[in-house]
Amino acid sequence: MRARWFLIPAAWLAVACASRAVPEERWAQEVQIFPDYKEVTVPPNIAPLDFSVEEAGAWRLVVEGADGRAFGVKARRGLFRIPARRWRSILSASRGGALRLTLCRREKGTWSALAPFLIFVSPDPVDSHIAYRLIAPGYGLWNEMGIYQRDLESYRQTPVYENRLTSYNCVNCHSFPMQDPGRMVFHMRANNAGTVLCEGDHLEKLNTKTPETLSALVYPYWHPQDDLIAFSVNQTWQSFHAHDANRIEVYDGASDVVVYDLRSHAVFSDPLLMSPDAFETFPAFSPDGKALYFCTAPAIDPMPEGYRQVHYNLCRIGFDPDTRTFKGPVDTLFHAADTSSASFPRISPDGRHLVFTKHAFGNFSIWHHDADLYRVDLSDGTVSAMTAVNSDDTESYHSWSHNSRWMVFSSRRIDGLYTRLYITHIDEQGNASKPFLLPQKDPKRYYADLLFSYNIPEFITGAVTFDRHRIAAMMRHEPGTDLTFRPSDPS
Amino acid sequence: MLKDRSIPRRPETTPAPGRAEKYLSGWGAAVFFVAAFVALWIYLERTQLYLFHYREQQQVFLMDWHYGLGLMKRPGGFSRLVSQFLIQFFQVPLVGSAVTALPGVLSGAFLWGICRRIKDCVGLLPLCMAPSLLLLTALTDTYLSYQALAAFTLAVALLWIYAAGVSTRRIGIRLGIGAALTLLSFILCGPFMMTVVAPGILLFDLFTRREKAPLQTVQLLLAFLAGSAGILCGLLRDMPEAFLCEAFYEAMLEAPYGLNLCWIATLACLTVFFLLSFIRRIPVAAGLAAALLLTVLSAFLYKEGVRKALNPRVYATERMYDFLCAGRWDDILRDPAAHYNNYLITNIVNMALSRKGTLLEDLFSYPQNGPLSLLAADEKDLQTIPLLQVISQVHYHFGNVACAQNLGFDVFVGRRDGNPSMLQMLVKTNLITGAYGVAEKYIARLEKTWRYADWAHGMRRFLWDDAAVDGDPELGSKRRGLPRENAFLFTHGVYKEMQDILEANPSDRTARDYQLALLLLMKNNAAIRSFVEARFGTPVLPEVPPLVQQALIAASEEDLDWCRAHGVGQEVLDRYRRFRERYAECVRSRENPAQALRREFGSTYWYYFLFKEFQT
Repeated sequence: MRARWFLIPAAWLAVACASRAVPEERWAQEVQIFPDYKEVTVPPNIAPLDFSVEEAGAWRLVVEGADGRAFGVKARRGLFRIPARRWRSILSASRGGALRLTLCRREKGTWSALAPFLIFVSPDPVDSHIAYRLIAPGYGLWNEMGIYQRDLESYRQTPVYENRLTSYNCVNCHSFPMQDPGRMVFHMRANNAGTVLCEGDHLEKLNTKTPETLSALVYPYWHPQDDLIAFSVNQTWQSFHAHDANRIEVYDGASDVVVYDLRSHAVFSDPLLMSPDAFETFPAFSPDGKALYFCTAPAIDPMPEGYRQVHYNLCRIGFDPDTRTFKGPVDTLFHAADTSSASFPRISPDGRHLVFTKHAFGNFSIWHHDADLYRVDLSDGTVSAMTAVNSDDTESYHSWSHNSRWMVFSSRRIDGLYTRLYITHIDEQGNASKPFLLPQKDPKRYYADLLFSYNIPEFITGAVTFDRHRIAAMMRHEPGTDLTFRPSDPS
Repeated sequence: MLKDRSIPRRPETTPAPGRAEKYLSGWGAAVFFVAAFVALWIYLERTQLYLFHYREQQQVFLMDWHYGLGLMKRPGGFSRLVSQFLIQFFQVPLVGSAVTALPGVLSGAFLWGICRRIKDCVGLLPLCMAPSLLLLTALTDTYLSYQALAAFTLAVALLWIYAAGVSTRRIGIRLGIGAALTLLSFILCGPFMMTVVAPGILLFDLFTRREKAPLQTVQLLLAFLAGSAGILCGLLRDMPEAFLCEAFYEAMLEAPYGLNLCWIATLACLTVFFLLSFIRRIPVAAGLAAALLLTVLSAFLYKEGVRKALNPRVYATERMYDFLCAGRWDDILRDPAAHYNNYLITNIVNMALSRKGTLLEDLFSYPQNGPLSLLAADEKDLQTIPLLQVISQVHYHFGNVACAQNLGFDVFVGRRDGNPSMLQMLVKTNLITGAYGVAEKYIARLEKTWRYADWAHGMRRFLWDDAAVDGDPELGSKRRGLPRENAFLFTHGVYKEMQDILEANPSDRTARDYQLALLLLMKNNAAIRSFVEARFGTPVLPEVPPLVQQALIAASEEDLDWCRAHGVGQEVLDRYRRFRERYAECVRSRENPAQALRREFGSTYWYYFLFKEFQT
């Protein structure tokens, strides 16, 4: 790939001439762009990375591919709108290589080129869609919210479900098994409450509170092979800080982990996951389905007074899907001690890496500015900070692509409150690349105007096609199926 | 106007109108509508001024193409865009009433333009105002979006275009242009496509006996298909949103029945004109008399309808909220509603007293009902936006920045189109807490508004500049009042939160006054005594405010020397003696002391302490 770089100056000159911006000088100076796409790694099937330059003036951009082909783009009010067809073509030709982007500025009638920057093009494609919830970043009142999906190969966002259909209730916690858009579960709270299970044409409303469990089902994670979904059940509260760097604290007074069997409509668990002396939450099955990861902390009483003393460890317990039983002992992968806490364990589909969110205490990391992503190498158990992706502000929820090479995560690094999505490439050794912000047509304006946070980003391999009006009608009119609790085998 | 080529315009039995009738239905109608506009304008300005101001607070309209296009994404979006654009000017004197009266009268004029083609009967002219008057009555409910009025006017205008310009054409053209207008009305006015435009075209053709008029049923089918497609595409929620005025009502609430009367009246109006077309000729004098009678009747019914629909107490809260947002403290205290026994209003009145620096002098000159009179609620589970938008301002006023921010955010996101005062509050609270990135986002948004752009631009000087915030009298003082020790809000009660603010910033008179006022309203004499004992003579309490002096006497009646030593003046002691004497007289004479003492002592703490009962 390096050998091809000699072609670039010639191509760049040709394109610059074609776009009537013949640079007469070259500067070492750099200019800030938004989003910061400099030196990021992108998949070969991503939508054009439009961006804006932060300084005023007349600007042009020369995009050169690894094969020497190039094209020019003229900025309009500082915004570069990269033509989709040319972008796709140049990305395709640059798989495994890099794009070289050179900004040119006109001053006093003379064009000058700035120091170029690279965008690395991975040969690994990313899943075609991300599903997420858009919600105002507060937890008192809300108006419109919904679960949406974004086609990563274009800018198209379409609704999966919007709360307008069911009296503006709360919709949350969408989840898919192994990035499969054909099966989904999510909850509705307040009006028309219940859990929605969608499998192909089959829709089902579930009433998930049982007398034996603490609450209705909360945080889901599908079993990779069987018709099972692990959930936490939580007694959750939220409080508002009078004067703290963090605005809100969301905490559990009690929590357990259970598994829902889709076919028998029964919930089951294990004493090790339902201990009255511990808070267990955030379950996640291993890709082979033979282990369940979860977070657990010694129960603190009283809450919320002791909220800063709650530190969740990251643990694993064996699971036999055939007998639907758990097998001890419980292994601790990350011991939080008294200084940190783990949440949202997510295992790469190839089973090699586990990424979790680490923060000082508690479990609701999105409201903790110190929250960062950490990786566990599952081959040797080493835990390391993902410094390439972390920022000074919150990094929280994350999910893996189907091929284990991409991870999407939420971050509040732009303004400290509104959560945005970033995508990073993870190589086989678990090294993360510099992440890039979810592309938009005019990202500077789009993200400045957007008053919603992205919540629970999940990669999916295609578009979700469930009929949301059928879902709404079902939730409004059907009584739903009551779940039962199946006690664990005492043996 | 286009000539009819094949079909007579009216039944052959109906003679052509005379010159006087033509004059009346043309110039006479014009004069009528101009007079109606002026009368409506004046009436609305006099009776509903603060509704217009309140509506201005129900949206943050951005002068931005992208924002405008975003509004247009859903059916009827154009009318939403137009109405929001107009509402942003509603704080300008005379604009809200004029902008409401004009479409109200225009829709009446358009309807007249349609109906006179069915039967040119000037006697029924005032009837054409009925639909818009019904809609204007419904608009006294601020949960009904102003978009309804814009959409209705556009719908009737489209129907008029059909009646005036197309209806005499051949059936193919009528069907084609009718379909185009029906679909256009879906974009411009949403549900009025199904209730006004499509049935209006059909009825008009039927009533004017056009060739193959029943074929216009296709417009209804088209409207149904368009609405259904909107639902399937996710643009519309359900059938009522697609086809009825429920689309314009706050979606979380149940829409009142009267919303749909406007389009029912429109179709009824067409029908009445049609029925009248069977009468061969109506004498001019009879027509004029009928017009006069209908005008008087319409005006009376409209006025009565508004009187019933516009709850004076609700209107008073909207007026007081407007004064609060505008900082018109004197107007709040002068307003007759200041004496209403309503927590929302007492919160505003007490805040006005505090702003005037007389909270601890005049607190009991206004109705008070316990601590909730000062702060209507301190629980986060409040869901009522009109209440939240007031108490968030109260919290901000006495320095509870985090609480103000939380409640303000709830109001801002709880309203579909935002709230500019709350957005200003979010700018200020984020600047105070140093969350500059968030503050900048909100400033940029307000900079795109017409009314708040200058204010927002002025706030930019505080971004990323702690010294500028610290040096600002308002923001700096609030920042100094941020509690030294963090705690969860609402956990230990609002009194503790006030205490923390005062401890952090002892020079904050507002926090001190609110804390003392809360104790007075709670009748907590012991706490008042402790407060004074600990702080009298310090910068927090160099002098004891008049009502607190009264409370000290109530707390330490047996130890007046202590009272004197702690700032209670002789004048207050003398007044207390008179109060006791008068009370004893009442007991002796078996007179009701609460009534007898009200005039002289109704504004004292002693009166409140003895006679006021309240729920905590």
